Amino acid sequence: MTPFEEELRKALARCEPADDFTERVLRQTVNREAPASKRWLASNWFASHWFASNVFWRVVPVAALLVVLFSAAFGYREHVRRVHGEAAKEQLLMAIHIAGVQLHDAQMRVKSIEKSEAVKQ
Amino acid sequence: MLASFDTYLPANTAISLPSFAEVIETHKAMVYSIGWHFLRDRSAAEELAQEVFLQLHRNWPAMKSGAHIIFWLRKAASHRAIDAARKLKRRQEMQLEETGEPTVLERVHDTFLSSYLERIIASLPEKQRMVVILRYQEEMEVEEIARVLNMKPATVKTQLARALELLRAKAERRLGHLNERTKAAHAGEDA
Repeated sequence: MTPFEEELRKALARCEPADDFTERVLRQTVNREAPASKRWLASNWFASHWFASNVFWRVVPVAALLVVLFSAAFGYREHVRRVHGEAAKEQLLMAIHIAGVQLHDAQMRVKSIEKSEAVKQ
Repeated sequence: MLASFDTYLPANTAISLPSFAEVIETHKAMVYSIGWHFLRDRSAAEELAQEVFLQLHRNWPAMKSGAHIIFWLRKAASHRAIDAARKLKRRQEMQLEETGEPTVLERVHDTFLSSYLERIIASLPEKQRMVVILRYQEEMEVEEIARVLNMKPATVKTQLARALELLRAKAERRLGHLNERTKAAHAGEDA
């Protein structure tokens, strides 16, 4: 190697990038590697801690059970209300029917009385 | 801390490669310096180095050995540097005031001649510049450079000879007072 080439070698000595270069590259590889859901979790501190905690896996079944129980209770109450409504409707129809029959009887009696009075006159 | 990032890498147990983080730590200066010496732009060189390592990460399963990784990094960095220079539309004749300063750790020999040589290297045509960088920064042989740049060894030799001729001419023209050692060497070569 000639002295001039030696100068070139010195001029082209390697130099270092910024101190955080490695960390930045690794962070980008993680961001590109992880699926969107993981990226969201990684970017969301609360979500990542919440889903990772044991509390989440205890709360979720209890919450699901409560939702089922409330739904069942609400459905049963609706069923009872519907049954009571049907019974009331039946009673009302029966009452109307009875009233109609009694009214018919009364009309028949009135007509027969009017007829007999007309024959007397 | 760095080791935790490697858990995201595909496991490759058939061969014993260094971890990805180790590869970055070991070769970041090489990749960054190729970009820096070629582009003379700190941010562009860092961006280039980042892209090269991210590309390596995507191609990690295809890596066969440490030597393969080095070859792959040099090749990717060289081609990306040439592409980046074309995109930046940088003029071959660089203005002195346009050039920033890198974070230099290894370089203690920062003479006026060296810093001037850096700038005139940046003014070489693309292919010649890359050949010079690979030859004197990476100390690669002509055959290795030919493989990295997809050129014939004879072409690399020609490019290198032309580059050296150009560099000497520019150095002599602008630095009439080249040190005696260099002058003596030129005289010997001319003879």
